[in-house]
Amino acid sequence: MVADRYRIHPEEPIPALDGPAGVRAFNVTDERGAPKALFALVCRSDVAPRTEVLNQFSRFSRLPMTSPLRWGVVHWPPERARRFAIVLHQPGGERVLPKADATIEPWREDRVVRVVMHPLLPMFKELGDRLLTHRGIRADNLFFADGSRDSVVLGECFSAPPAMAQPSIYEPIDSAMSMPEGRGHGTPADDYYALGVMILVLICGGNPCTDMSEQEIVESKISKGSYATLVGDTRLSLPMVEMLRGLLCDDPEERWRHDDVMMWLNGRHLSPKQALLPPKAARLFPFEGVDYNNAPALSNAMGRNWSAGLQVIKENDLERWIRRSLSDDTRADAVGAATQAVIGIGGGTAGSLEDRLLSRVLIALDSQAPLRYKQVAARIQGLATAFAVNYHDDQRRQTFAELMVHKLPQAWIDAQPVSRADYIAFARTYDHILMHLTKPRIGYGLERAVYSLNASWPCQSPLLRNDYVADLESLLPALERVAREGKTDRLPIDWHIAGFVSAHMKSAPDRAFDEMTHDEDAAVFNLGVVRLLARVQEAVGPASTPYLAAWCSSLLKPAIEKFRNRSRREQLLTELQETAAKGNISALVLMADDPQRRAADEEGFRRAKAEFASLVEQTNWLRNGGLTKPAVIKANAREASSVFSSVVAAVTVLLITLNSVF
Amino acid sequence: MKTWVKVLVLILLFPFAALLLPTTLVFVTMMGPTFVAYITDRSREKHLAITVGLLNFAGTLPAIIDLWTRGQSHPAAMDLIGDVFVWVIAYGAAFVGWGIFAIMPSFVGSYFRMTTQTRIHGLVRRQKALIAEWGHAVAEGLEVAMHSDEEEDEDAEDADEDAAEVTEAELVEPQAG
Repeated sequence: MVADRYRIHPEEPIPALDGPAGVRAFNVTDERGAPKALFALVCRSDVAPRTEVLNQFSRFSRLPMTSPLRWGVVHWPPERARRFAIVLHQPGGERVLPKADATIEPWREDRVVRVVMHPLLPMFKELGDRLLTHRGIRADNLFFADGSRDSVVLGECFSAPPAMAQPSIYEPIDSAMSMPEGRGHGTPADDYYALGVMILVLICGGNPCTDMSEQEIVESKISKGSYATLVGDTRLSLPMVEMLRGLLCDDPEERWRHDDVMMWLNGRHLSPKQALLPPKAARLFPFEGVDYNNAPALSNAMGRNWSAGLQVIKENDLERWIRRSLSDDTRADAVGAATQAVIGIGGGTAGSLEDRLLSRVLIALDSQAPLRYKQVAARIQGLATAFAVNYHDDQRRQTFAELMVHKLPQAWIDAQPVSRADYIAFARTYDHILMHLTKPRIGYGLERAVYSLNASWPCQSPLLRNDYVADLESLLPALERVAREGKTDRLPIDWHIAGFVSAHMKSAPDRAFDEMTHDEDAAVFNLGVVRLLARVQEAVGPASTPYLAAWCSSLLKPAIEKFRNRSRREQLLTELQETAAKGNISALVLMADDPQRRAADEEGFRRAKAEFASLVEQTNWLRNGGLTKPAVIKANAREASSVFSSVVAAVTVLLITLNSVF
Repeated sequence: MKTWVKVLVLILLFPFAALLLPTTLVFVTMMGPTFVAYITDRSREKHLAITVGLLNFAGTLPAIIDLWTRGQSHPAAMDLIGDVFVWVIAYGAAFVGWGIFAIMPSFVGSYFRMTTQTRIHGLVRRQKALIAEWGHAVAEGLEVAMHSDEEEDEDAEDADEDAAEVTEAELVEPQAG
């Protein structure tokens, strides 16, 4: 049940509306009886939906797009877990293109204009005005609005990271070069590019480049331009050619936007500027059996074939080729500078040095291309998401860590010909991340990096496998559920949860993290664990988590055992249980870590130790004949004799005297 | 007591002794055991002399009173000195004092041995209580000796009562002298 209103039916899947990358659709009924057909997308727990844009997209209910009605975390019986679900209106008709690789009857150009362009253009304006991007504009995400097939609505774009489901044909060159999860939210220009491709796909009745692989399409886009690659020999009217040239322009600054398209629709035809193709070299550069005549294409090929690219770097004739054949001293100098920078920085193994060198050389060869390092290729704005999506792949995680430690994002930003405000923000972010990565302790490291870079990414702790915790407020309730289920055989904090807390709290609870570095001392370590949870409770609540508090109280036993006095320990354990029943974790920490109580205990122990030593001394004295030595007995006996005889004599004298008197 | 003090006392007493000569005669004669005890007691405190002397005095006192009731004359004094019964009482009392002095060490010895055991049990019990309350760290740095004597039974009872179940081996015991 979402928002106490929308009931999701797990037994009624709607495969036709399934989202990308394993996001499944299910039928939804409105408990208040709204007549419109609804469906819900149940998101994956390891890939975050675009929660940051849901609110904004929910305001576009009048636009021809599938906007979210409500969303939230729900109990999902099929997986016996909690999952993030988004409730949406069902489109009235089926997908325009059933699948990305499917073919349909080609649309006439006027139908495309009437059914697609006219209705969708207001949506582009709204998105552009709000600097929002859809990043899911493609023919297989376009639905007929009803059975008449005379209008369309655009499908959803928020159940997975931006553009992750886009076939690379719909993406501009740099985005197509990136791994799907590393494309980033992009700019409105990316959506206009995708619109152009979608129009072409509809006119062609499917993918216009079926005879080319994705890699060949990218290479062709680089060398020939997107328009030439995608349109190829397709027969188009002159106006349509004009419009597609504008939308498929490879220079995002020159690409047509809303006003340009509106003018075109109103009959004012313009001649779009074409992006310049990369300069061709006088001499071809052979690489892996292919001869390349321009630097971006060579850069793309070397990025795709990393080991062969490393070989090129070792042969050291790349700079000479750029200088002599391309006559591009600036680029040659950049390649030379990249080499010098890596050698100057040094550090790491020889292999990592070469990898860094190649990455920087690729940036120098084509500064517009995404950042590439080994098997990673991502736009700077999609790097964080790509890191999070690939976090569970050990090798890729390591690659991302190396990439950030070696400051390659900063190097990419430095290499950009134009400085932008968001680039400066990225550079600052990755400087911070570098600081976290260089602290190899709980609360920092890669875990903190992944949540710092992706604020709405769900915590990936194995402890929360059956839950969905994407904000700090949800953490303690989730742990309370774990505690209530009795799964308390492990600690309530691990590296993921610590990193998640660290990334989401305004001031990192470093004292708790410091204590958690003492993993050899259970008392200190566990105290750190409970202190961290207490800080979270103080920061965001809830005020009472009795099951979790009981879990914490059991963790504090080693700390209580450090009190030397048994009675005090027993008293504290009793008080801990009483306090835990109230669910206040902070109070537990105060009890277990009360400096005054501990000082009193130490003072008591010191006194007890002194008393014990005194007792031993006395016992030794007695056992060594302190009272029973002959000399002692004799001395005391003599004294006792005097006293005794004194008493007897006194009594006798008294009696004699009395007798004499009376 | 220094010698000059003793001489001074004798000089001061001498006029009284001369004045009360009959009493002095009876007293000196009957207090003979005390003089002997004083001479034989080598200790500084002269406990033997005190013990014998006090009882000897108590035995001599009836004769002195009798002398005084007869008017403290020389014949009365000589009469009393010649009375065997007076001798028996005075010297018997001195003998009792001597007897007390002789048997007192065995009494005191028994009492002290008994007291020692009781006190050791008390001290051990307190040690156990401290260990139970504060743990074995309270005995750190002190030498541990195995228990070896008749305290065993009582200590076993203590151990039963003690929730911490402190065993004898864990207890810090005094070393045998």
